[in-house]
Amino acid sequence: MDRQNPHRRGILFTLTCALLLAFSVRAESPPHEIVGFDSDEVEVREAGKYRYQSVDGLGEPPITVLATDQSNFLKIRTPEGKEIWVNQSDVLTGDLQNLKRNDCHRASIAQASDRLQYGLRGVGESCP
Amino acid sequence: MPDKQTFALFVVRWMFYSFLGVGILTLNPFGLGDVADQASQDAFYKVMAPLYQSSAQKDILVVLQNDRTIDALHSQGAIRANEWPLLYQDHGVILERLGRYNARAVFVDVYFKKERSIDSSLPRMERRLQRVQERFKTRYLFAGGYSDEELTPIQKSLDSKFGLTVNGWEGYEKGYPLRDGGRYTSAYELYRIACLGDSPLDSCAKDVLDESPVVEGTALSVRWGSRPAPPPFPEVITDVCSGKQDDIAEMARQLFWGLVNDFVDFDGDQALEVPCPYQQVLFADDLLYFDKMGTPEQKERLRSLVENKIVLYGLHLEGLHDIVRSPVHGLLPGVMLHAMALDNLMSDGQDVVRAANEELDRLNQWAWVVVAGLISLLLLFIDMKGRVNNKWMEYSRSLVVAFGIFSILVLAGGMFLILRYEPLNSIGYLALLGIVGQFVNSELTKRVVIIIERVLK
Repeated sequence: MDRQNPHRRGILFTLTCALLLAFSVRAESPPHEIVGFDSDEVEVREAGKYRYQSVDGLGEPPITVLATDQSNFLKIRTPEGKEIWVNQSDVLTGDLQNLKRNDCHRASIAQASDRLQYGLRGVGESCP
Repeated sequence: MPDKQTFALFVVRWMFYSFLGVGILTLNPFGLGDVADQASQDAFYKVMAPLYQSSAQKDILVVLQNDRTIDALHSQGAIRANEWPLLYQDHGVILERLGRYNARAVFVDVYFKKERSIDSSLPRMERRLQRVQERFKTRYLFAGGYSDEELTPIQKSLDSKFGLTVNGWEGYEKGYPLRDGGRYTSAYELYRIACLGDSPLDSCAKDVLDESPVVEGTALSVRWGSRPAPPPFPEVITDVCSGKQDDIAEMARQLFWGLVNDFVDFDGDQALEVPCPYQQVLFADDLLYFDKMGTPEQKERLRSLVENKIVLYGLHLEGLHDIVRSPVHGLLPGVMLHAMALDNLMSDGQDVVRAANEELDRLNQWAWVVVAGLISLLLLFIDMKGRVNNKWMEYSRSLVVAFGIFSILVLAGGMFLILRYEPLNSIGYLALLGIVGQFVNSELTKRVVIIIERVLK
């Protein structure tokens, strides 16, 4: 009996940790939301097909984003309860509201006439 | 009146100087004539650049993509790619925004030759732009390469839905052709939209360059301005390009350092080059940033920057070598050449400066014959006066050089300001003048005089 109890306690401890971890992860990354639309229509994807839809049918912002995918689309639920994917390029999300503008631009675009580079383009550069 | 000997000497001189000059100009030994021609044109345009001011500057906008804009757009969630090359859909997002702000036309200086197998978003880009074209009447034109190239399926698709322009050519040396292989080039197509339609822009010159004189081979000599357009959002882009310039001081600076920079121990070329382009420039990420998150005032400013304007969308990426050499600025993104050519067309219209062609080459040769004749005439006069007062012979060489320089300046001014041809090969002419000067009162001339005396006896 004493030999079996440590095993059970170990399993219970592991399960408790896993539960707490899952809960804490959910709490630390709240879903972002759509807070505005760039235009009166957006590109949407439904059942793998792309089309344009008026923003009127999507609901009033803020609209909760249910999921994101690698092709830059955001899943939302319309007021009718339908789930569709909206192109992120066409909307303003909450996390962008505090985004700072990239200040690395300069108006002096011209480069010295003896500037040379040999070789093909590879990796891009970042702001110094 | 000159005697027979003096007159014969005049004829011999005129023929010799003419053949010498025309021979050198025609043979172009080791390409020296071309080098001198380019250097002459560069020097002329550099010094004159501060005086180039056009109202068309406010009607042309260049939207640039570079590594930083791509990075920023990706961070904004606006595009999928974080590095070049962008996806077709990514280009579509930027280009659509310009259409929604009612640009009159957008030229896409990106050469789409073959549809990439790893990017299936081309139909979505086309659909996005077609919708904008229908709603907002913005014309989209794409870079179509050379006039004689065979169009691929993607090019045919873009041509049928939007339009392709010729943005590559050969055989025009320094000139920017307006028509090649039966098709108009990018700048002239944009000019047609800006100035030849039912409602031309106010900045178009009254005497428009309509299509009839733009025949095969017509090319313009691009003049670059040095007064940069003020940055559209000066509160966020703080740099040296304020748009202000003291024209006379800038001309003097270019002239002075252009003459002496190689004698002074400093990197003269970089000091001479103007760092900011003539055109208004908006970076692609700023376009989206202000559209999405700008204040109402900034959005209004963005609207006025784009609405009813001719917009050129281009790239400024290290390693892609789409660059053009401007005599005023150094190296610029290639799209700036199209923008500057368009600016020239809009502001000059029929009076646009034409690039050299066979007709101009013949004119140059005849111009030298005239200069040679005037120099020979001057020497005839000096010979006659020299018999009475020897001082004339002492200063004959200096007089010839001074008179020659004056003639070249008058000729160059006339060809540029009146005939509207690209600047004369002044450096080449000055070199010829130097050669001619060596023959004045030389041993060769004295022997020729003796031969003429014997022949006429």
